[in-house]
Amino acid sequence: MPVISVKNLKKYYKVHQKEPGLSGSIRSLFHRKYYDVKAVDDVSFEIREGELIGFIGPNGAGKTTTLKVLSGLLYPTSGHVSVLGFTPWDRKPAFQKQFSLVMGQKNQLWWDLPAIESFILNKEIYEVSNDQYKKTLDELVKLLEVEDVLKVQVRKLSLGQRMKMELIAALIHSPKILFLDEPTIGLDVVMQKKMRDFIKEYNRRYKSTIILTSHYMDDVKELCDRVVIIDKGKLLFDGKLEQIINKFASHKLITAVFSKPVKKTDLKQIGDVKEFDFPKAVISVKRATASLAAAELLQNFPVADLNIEEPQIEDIIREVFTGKDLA
Amino acid sequence: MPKYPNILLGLFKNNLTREMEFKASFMLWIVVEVFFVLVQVAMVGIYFNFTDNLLGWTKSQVFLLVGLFRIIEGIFHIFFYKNLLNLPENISSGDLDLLLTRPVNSLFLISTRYFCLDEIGTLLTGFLVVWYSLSLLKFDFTFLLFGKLFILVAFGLLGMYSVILIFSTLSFFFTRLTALHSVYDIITKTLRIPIDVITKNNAIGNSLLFPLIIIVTLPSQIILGYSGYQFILLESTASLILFYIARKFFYFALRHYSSASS
Repeated sequence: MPVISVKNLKKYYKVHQKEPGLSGSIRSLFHRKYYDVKAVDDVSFEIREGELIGFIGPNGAGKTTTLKVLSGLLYPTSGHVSVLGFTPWDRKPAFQKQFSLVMGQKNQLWWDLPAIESFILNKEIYEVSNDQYKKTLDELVKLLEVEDVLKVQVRKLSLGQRMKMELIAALIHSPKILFLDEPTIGLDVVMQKKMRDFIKEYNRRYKSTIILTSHYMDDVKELCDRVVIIDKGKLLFDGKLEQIINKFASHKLITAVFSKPVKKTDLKQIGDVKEFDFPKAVISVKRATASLAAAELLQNFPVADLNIEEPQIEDIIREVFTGKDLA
Repeated sequence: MPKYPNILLGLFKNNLTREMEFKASFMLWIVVEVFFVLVQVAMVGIYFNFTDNLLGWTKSQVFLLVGLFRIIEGIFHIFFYKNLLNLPENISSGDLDLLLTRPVNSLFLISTRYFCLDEIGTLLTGFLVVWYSLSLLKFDFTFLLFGKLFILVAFGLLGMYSVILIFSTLSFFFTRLTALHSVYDIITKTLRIPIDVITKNNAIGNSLLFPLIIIVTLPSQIILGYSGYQFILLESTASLILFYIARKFFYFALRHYSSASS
């Protein structure tokens, strides 16, 4: 039984288009042109309990809009959504007590107070017992290593420390579902790693279901078994990360090291030369004929070393978003 | 059901702690607010040097109205002002998102998140002015009088909250509503004088401004014995109906909330 079920979800916005300049502004006072933005366009998926899913897509793909519908912030244009058996936009307290939404660019903590004051308030809002609160807080503080800054004003914390506190505030009521919207945005590489380790450990320990949106491929590669790719409101892919390669990568890369000088023009007969810096060359060839291309290279060129590999997942996804075929 | 008193207490503690971080600002604002109230009282005194009554209102009676207004305004400013008048900004920036995901009544949380405790000066000065005016009017300070004052202030406050909520709710449709502060200023300036002075007791004028009349003018008239006890029922019913309309409008508008880009 899935904990999240989304069927044919659509969310369209009506936005108005304003002509540039002052005359455009004056014209828009009297007559506005509206057009539909299909933020989410017929998306369907299911998520089981305990899964850690990555939502990836370019800016404006519909990732955050999907999260906002799942958390009940937005009413969909059409479609059916069920989260833990609830319709999210009914905003029933029984549902809201079971999930948490963390937005990397938004702050729920009281700016002028130590984070612990916000935690206490959340404890009352979510009706967490004193014992459970103390237990959960101790565990999270230990996992995130923030004992020293618990009583420091939020406005004096670094971005990384603040994000850790945001996570604690979001998890104080031990939600079954966690929506993380770009939680590592703006953090340095060390802090990003710490956040990823925490999210992985939290998912492992508490079997919570986590949906994560991120632009950092390292987040997705390290955390997510399953990836959903959304672009222009449409779901392009839903499956394991390694399956992206099989589905979208039409080419492979052959890296050859030559023992004697060769001409770049000669290598073009094998495939598309991506890099050429003697003694090394990287050639892109179609997946179906990669073995043949490798054999031809070995036969016709003085190859000292040869390696066939898949393109980087980041490159594949970039090509998916830009609509280009990998070549 | 969430423990709303505990949540309110938690919000009060956080707001008080925050005010204590900025002691100088807190004290200065109290002094400023007391000064404003005293200036307003003085202006009334100056006006009444030139006349005995203001369309039937004597100086002491106008003092009562001013004091009642300041009590209602003080309570409104402490609990609701910042939250309702910042609603357009919160909608525009998408900061409302995290409030709407909480398992607490949305209107409650949006209305009570931040307190302006430095408005306590307005409230206390309002009590002083009411006490002063009732002394001049030779009222006996009985439990019945305090009970009437409490009920009328409560319903007057409910009326004021409802009127401002209706205007703030428009920001769900118009997003940017910079005129809201100006609207609030006009309303509060209107409330400082007996509204029947503005409408000259014209029926149409009284009807149009009835939501404002029930905030301060009618409660003052009831205390002064002008309107009779049946008007307490009118005051309470009208405030409750206005609140019902404001609440319905708010939840209707909430369905149109479209958040903001992340």
